[in-house]
Amino acid sequence: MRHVKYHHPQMSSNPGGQLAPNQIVGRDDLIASMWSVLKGRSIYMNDLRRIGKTQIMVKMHAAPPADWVTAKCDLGGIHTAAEFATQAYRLSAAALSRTTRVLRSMHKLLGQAGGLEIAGLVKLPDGTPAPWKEVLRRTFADIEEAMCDQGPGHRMLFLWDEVPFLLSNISHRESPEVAMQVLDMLRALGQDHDRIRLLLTGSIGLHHVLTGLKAQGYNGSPLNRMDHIQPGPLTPKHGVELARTLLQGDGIRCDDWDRCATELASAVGHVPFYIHRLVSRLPKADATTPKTIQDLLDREITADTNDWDLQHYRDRLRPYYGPDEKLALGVLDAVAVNEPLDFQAIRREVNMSGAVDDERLRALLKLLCQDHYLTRTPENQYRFYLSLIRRWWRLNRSLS
Amino acid sequence: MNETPFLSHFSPQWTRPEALEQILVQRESLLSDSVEKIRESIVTGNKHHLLFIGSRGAGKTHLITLIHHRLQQADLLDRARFAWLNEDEIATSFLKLLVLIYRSLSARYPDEFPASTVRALAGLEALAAEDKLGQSLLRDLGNRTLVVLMENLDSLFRTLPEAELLRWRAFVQNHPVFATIGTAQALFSGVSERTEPFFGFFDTRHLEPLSVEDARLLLKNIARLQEKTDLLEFLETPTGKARVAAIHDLAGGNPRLYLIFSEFLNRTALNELVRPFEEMVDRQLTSYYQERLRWLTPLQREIVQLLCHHGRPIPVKQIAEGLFTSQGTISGQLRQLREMHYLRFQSLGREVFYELAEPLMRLALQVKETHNRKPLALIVDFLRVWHDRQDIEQRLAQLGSASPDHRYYAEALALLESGAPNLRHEILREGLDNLSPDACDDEALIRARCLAEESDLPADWSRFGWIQWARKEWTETIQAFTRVIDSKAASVAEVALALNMRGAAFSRFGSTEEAIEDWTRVIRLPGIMPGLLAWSFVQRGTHLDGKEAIADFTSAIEIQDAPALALESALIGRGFQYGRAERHDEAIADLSRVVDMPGVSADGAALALIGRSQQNFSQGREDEAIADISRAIGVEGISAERLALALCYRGHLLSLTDEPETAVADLTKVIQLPGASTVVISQALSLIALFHAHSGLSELALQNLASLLATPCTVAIPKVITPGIPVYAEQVIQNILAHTTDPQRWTTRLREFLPLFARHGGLAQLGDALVQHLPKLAASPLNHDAYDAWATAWSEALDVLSPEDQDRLEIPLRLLRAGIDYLKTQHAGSLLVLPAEERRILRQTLGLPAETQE
Repeated sequence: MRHVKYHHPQMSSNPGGQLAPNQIVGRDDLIASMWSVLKGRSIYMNDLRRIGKTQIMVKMHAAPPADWVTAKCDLGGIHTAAEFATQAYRLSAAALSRTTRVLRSMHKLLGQAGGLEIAGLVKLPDGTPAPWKEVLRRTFADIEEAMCDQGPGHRMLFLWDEVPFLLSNISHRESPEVAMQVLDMLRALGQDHDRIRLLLTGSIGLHHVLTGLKAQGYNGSPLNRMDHIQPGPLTPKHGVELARTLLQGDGIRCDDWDRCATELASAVGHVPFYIHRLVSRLPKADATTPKTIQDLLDREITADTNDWDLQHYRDRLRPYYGPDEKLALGVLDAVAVNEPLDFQAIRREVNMSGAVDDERLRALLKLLCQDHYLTRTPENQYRFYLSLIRRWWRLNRSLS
Repeated sequence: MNETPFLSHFSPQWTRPEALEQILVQRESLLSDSVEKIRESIVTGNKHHLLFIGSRGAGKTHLITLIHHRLQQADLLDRARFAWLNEDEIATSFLKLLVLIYRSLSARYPDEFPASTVRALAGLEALAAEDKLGQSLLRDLGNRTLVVLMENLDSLFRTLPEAELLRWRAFVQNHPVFATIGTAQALFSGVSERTEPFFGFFDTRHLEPLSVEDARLLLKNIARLQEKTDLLEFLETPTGKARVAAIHDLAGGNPRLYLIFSEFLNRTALNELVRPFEEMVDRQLTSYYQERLRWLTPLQREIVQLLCHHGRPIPVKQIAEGLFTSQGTISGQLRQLREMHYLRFQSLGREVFYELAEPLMRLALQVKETHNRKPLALIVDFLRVWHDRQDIEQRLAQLGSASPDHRYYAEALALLESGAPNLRHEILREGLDNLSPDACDDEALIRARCLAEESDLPADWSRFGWIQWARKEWTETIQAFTRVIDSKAASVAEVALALNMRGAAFSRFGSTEEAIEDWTRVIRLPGIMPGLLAWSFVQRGTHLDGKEAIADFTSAIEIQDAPALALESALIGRGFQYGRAERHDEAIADLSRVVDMPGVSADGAALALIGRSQQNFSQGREDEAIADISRAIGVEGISAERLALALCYRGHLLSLTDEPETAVADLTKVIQLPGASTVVISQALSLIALFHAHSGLSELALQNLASLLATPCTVAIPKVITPGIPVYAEQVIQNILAHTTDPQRWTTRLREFLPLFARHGGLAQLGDALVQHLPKLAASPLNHDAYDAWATAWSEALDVLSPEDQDRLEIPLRLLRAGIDYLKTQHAGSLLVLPAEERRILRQTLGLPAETQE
């Protein structure tokens, strides 16, 4: 096998921990294309948990292009709109203090002394919390002005992680209406300020929160004007490269690095988190072979109690698909055994009795793709989105 | 004299880290790896969050104490701050968690993290206080990394609501200056379920229980630390190893229990140990386990209590009977208890045995029940297992009846006197009873050896012998069965079986005379079981020949109630013997009886058919011979070894009956058959090679030759290969030249074959064939340059041989060079470079007239 050249530093496995930006590998092309998109509009990034969305943000924040200012924040701990507005203001103040005059309009609102007295919330000179909409509006206006002062092409990007949790928290702590107002506010501010872009993401899909809000009467489409990006796993080349680097960095004994790295990365579907995790669990005393890698992974994902929780993909079928649960099981079983399958082949597999309507099946396939069970190939065939899930599915369902 | 180092049972952080380092076993790799990860967190932007999972007493605190200790190095001290939260501290909000962390830092680094910071928060709203304290913590920390050590992380996760967990996680994500070292009793949903905020956040490591050998090392380390030389030496003896193996069942691989047991090991009196120990167990463990029991259903509690009383693994059936409940009901409950980490199980044979996942639970629960100061069963059991009766009696004699530990020894002695079986032996036996000899690992072997040596009972020696037999350790097998044979306690049946097995081991070892002697002794023993008698006749007959063998097989056949398999073997043996004596009809009769026997084994039927086929062929009945051997090949369930034999024999028959292609097909199947014996494969290869040698040139022939010559040497192979060497040599030379004109390939191929011929002592024949091939070279389409290249290829390939072997080819190569010069020049003067004798050989080879004498 051809040896790949490596350009990143010595690395060892760190499953779940925080990686230094130079150790987040294999995302350069995606990040370059995201910066390109951001010139035109904001981005909503959505994918499975642990696929590496936060790490993409970390890397973007660490090295933005020359005319960009970035502010990054995990919003999962914020529970009110006022806290959120305060956080936006504070992030902006910190980011802009390095580059320009700070937030004139906000200072006007808070008074000369008030702006410094922040303990959880922005407060007015009389000690009352500042209205959150006003804080957001003025903060965005100040940023727009500051960016214009910098010169043409200068922009600021908010990298906001765990936005769905933020909205869910506000909905529970305050009310669904306030959560809706936050969403509308963000959409409006995004439209009004061309020098500000948002990159939103989260562990859970925003559409789940929106569905809840829509049930409460919300009829906005806050993500319509945003570009939707699904980063997915690493490319096989980068997945193998990462696996090889980690195997060596962890001091794993191995006679054939390339084969083991290829086997390991492909077994976990080239998802960097799982590559880190599997490498970290390889025994160091014995020599690693492709077979020991496969055996370890099978043991790990099928153990009585394990922290891969692939059972989640089985358990959520009922809440997600209700009466179509059985049909979904049939589709996933068929694809797990014989992927890739086209629509006709899937129909033959699940519709022996002819009871399933074609349109119902099409709708279900679309949902299964949206929920990251399946993906559609350029040849219009369906396969599992992650080979790891397919592997577990076959083991769990005793499919040959 | 130095003071004995203190080893805390329940709080390793109170023990000096140097002592903890000295007694560490099994986890050095995990420890150094973890230290390296936290070190990386301190000196780089990578932040690790480690979570160690293990039951109570599994060594979690020991491990993180050492991680902490090893990180106290000069180059790290300026770059990190450590916050070690107390084990029992809980927090119901992220703010309170921050307070715990800050207070821990204040206690350790009062100048950097002033205690007044927390005091100043009084009266603030929670949100403001959290914000302020978070900012203070980050400011005071500066550009250093904060390493937070948190024990019982699972408890903390239980008390923190999801909203607070989200705040914690967001804080860590927004300020990547933290590294975490956590512990938990078991994997918990907060980190393992995909919907939880901290899913996949921690790098989780499970602490494996100690193996018997780990436990012995731990006890040795403790003994070394405490300068207990006698104990150290004892632990090296077979008896010492046996005792560790036995107490391993009581401790269940739990390091804390070994630590506790070690306290009891070298004390004549347990004064000042028992009472504090009981109180400590009561204080530190009982409330914890009582609380855990409260979460269970009544039936689940009963199961736990039953297992607690029993103390060792018991099968599902016994649990169901003990609780007067159906196995089905119990199985469901057991599964739930397993999932909740209360129980663990192991499969032995068809049965599944359950025990408490945490042996400490047994200890703790009994303390609660022991209101009348009844000695703790676990400790009594430990004393029974570790000490001999004499030992216990001596210690009792030295103790006053009022001393607290008197009760323990008295209880242990009472149990010994009650006629209860030796607990140590029982424990060792329990682990072996349901284990088939071929499933025994090294640990089981140690247990079996210790048990046999300790008990010296024939049954235990016999079990050890069977295990050694399964491992093909013939000398050990012979020694084990000799102990049974020589034992006065052995019954006639035990001696007979041991003699039979020892004979078989002697036979495998190559000591045929001793083997025959043992079987003869069995045959002469009075009143032995018919089966054993029959087998002894069969085995002895197999090692004899002619009339003696026939007599033995006949004796076996005539034994009433002989096992069917012995009868089958006897008939086959006698059938083959009749065949060798050319008593064909009797041979066919015996072998046919086997073929027609109801319930005959597949291999038996196949072997009988092979034998009958041979008889038919020798009588000129070719069709019947082929029919029999084909039937043998088709027997359902036949072993690979027997199938290979049948295919090889049919290949042989077909090659003699003008069906060479079919013959080669059969022989090729033999080579490709997994499980075929080396001898049969070499025979098949030899037949194929010979077939190709007679039927032309092919790459396949070359490959087969290489495979044949590379076959591992057994006694039988030289007999097969040696006669064919001249033919193989000619084949190799012809094939190499026929299949490529690339001189580099010639060299490569020659380098492949030269060592193979050297291995079989065939270099002389190869050299001879090389010279004899010269006329064919002349007739080939190769040009003169190719002739030279051919000679050069040989010279270059010689480097794979030893100097001695290179010498063996010196003359042939000289002849080759001279011969080639002659072929190129057609001038006999070219031969004058050779001495007269060599010239004569070459002239003959090249068909030149003899030199005229001057």
